[in-house]
Amino acid sequence: MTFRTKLLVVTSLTVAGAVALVTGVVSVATRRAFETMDQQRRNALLDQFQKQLDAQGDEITRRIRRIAASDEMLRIAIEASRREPDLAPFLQTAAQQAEGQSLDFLDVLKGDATIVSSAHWPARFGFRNDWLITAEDWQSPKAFLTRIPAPEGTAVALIAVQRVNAGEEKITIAGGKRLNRQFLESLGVAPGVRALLWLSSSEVLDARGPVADAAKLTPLVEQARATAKPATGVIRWREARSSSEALLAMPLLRGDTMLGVLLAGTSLADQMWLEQWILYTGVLVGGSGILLGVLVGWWTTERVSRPVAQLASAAKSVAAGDLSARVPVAGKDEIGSLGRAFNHMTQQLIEQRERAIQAERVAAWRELARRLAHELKNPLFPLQITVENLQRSRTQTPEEFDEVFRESTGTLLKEISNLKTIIGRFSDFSRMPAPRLEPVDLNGLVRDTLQLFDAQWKQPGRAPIEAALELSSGELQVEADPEQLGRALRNLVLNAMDAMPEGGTLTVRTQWLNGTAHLEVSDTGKGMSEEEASRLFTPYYTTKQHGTGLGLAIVQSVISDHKGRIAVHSEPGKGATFTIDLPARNSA
Amino acid sequence: MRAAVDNADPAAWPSDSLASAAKQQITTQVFETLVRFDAKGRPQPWLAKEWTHDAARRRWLFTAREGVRFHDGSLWQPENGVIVIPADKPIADILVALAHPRSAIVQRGPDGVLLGTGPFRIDKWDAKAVTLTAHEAHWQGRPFLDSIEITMGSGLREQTLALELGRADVIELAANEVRALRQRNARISVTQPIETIALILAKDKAHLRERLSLAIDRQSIHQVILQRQGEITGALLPQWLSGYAFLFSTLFQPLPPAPSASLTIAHDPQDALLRAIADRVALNATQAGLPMRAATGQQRPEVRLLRLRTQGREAAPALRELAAGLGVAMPEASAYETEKSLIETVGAVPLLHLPVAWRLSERVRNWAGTWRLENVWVEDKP
Repeated sequence: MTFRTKLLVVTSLTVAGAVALVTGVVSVATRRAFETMDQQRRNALLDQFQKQLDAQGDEITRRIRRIAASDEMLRIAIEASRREPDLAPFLQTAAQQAEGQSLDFLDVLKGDATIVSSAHWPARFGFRNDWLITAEDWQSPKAFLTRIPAPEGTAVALIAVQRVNAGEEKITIAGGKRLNRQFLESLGVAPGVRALLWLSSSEVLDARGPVADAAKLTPLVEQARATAKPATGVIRWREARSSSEALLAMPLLRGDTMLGVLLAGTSLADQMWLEQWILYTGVLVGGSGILLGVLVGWWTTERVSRPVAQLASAAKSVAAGDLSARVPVAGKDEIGSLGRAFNHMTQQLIEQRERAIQAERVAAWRELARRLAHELKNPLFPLQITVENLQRSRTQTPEEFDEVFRESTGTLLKEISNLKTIIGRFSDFSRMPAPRLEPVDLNGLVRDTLQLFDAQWKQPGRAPIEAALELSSGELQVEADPEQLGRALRNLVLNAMDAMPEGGTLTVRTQWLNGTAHLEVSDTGKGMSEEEASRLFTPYYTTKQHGTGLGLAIVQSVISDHKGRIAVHSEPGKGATFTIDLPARNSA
Repeated sequence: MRAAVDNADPAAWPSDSLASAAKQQITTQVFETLVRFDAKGRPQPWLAKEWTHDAARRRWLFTAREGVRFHDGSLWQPENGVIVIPADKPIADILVALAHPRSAIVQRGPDGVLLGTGPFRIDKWDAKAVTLTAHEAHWQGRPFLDSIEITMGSGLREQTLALELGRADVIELAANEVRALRQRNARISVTQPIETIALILAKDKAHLRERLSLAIDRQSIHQVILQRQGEITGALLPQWLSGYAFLFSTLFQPLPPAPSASLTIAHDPQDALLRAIADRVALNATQAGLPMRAATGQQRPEVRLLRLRTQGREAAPALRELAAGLGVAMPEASAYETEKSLIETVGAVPLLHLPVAWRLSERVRNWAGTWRLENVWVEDKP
């Protein structure tokens, strides 16, 4: 992934992340604000319900008192006090009074709690009242909630009780209003809030009438019933999330009996809509931000990454040896400084390289001079002695002079021959010809080369060297100049022999390795240090007392001309191994 | 004279059998029969001034009254002035049958309307009212009243209001209102108990009849709901008619509750008195382990609460009339056995016998205790 792409990705992710974070924070804050507001509205509804209950209770109590104070009730009380009362004419009295006072329920009861007249269930005359259960119910000065049996089933009602005295007999008037849709309507709830009344699993209503799918409320109602405390929950009425409603269920209790549950619900549609809007807006803003980020990032990274890319390209060129590579420099920012530093660096590298080359040239000339001086000094000294002997021998007898002259001229010729040999080596190194490639069996070349040294290794008086060949099976064909490659191989053998003055084992291995012809020449000599190994192929460098330092330099030159690689691995006391990899014939 | 009634639709005249009291009695003002029964149930000559029959009671011969004219003025002239009714077997209840409105003497007019011979003729009628006018050529002489305006479709409450406001002279009266109105000295006309209020069980519930009968507290219904009007009964026919009604049990002795499927009860939804009785019956039945509730909508009820009425003034023909009305045929037997069998057959639980009551305005004079309006007249005062 390019730097520019990375920059683009980071920019886009940063924008998207920031938008997502803001969206999330706003959503959470909105939800909490809504929840707090909904809770307040539900609590306000419960307060309103209690106030309305109290107000209606007071009103019902007043109406029951009015009924109790009516002449009709006094007549019933008087009739009930007779020894053989005839209360049949009062059968419709409760209904008439209830209608007059707009009550849903009204029972007129004798002292023994039998019904004289019932407005809501006229047929129950003569039966005992069964919904004023406790003594508290009969004595309660205030209205209270209770469950009343009715022909169509039981109903929850707000009830007040009054007594009428006439002589020894007392009649009781108990009546009230049903907790129904009209009662919920009278609560006057705030918009978005509704009150529901759960009276039984089959009777659940709100201000508009029966509630459909009321079974969904059952878990919440059961929770309120089980704990006898308010419970909260969220009901999703339909598939759409916007149909969700947060509900607070308050059990309506009479002693330990639950008469019903009042539910205060707030629609979550607005909250859902706002959350959805925030989400969509976040997605839209995020998408736009990413798009804008990509465009701006594209333009910005273009400006930022172009100098970097140019710098990288120039660095690659420098790494490849092209020190002339330069980057255009614009601006005074960090990128500009970097470009200037790079250009300065390459300029410095060129200058350093030129200085190094110059120094190497000087060093080479010095080394060459030293070598030449050293090589030439050795034969010159015998020459000087010989010439001085000849000069001194003129005073000797002719016979002695002839003897000395013959010996001296022989010595002079020998040393002059040595000088020629030395000069020839230097001349060879300076005139290394280009290899003439032809198919060569590397294994055969190895065998032929080692055979040249076989007699020498077995010469009496010399420390024996044993040759070990571990050649690959068959031929190992390479494209090579057999003369140059043979010379390189001979130099390696000679180098190994020099490393083993006390004798040892020379091992030569060949094999195909990773598509190349691999050759190893190992000795069991004294080895060398890492520093020595690193300088081993430097011309004129030698660890030997009488070496020219050109043998391994020639080997490296030959291998390099054959597009091969040469390396040495050695540790002091553990011998040395030279490895040569040559391209196979077909790939040369 | 102005009357207000609940149902007196003349479209079905004069064929209804278990019809409302109003319809039945108003019908007799327009259509007349050969024979009529007096208040004591004795047959009286009417359009037939006399009748004879052979020894086997198979051939009956009725002599037509002279001078009887239909409402269009045409003379009623049976062939040879007699009506002969022959039969293959003895006709036991021929007089009862002939006294029934469906046996009235009628003639179809040119426009297809039925013409009668009664003291009043139908002047006009629509869905809300019927106007009868005096039949000038009635064989007994012109009635005192020039016309009778009968408003139909009025509930008892509207009827009472109409009477109190002077817009009606005769209205129907629910039996349970009689006592209170008497205490207020209102003018009331009450017949003998001629209506039977009874429960009729569906065939598949007929086995519950005895249990249901024992579960119902008739006494409470009579004393409280009906305000002591009418009679408690376990029989279809009233005591004054059959003489043996007391033999049928009215015992209130609920049996121990036993598992039973829920029952539904239905009645005429416009009849407030029946509704009150049905509610009490349902309550009693439920308490006795026979859960009962009001039937709703098109639901087929297992129990029906009905008002039954018969024209008959003798037990046997009255029972046959009731049986026919209830859709069953009864074999010949004694009246008691027939009634017992009829109760078992139709799954009936008779509860009460009720009179029919009328409330009259102060203007009405010469009221004979029943709808014999040919001699009634009204004072000309508001």
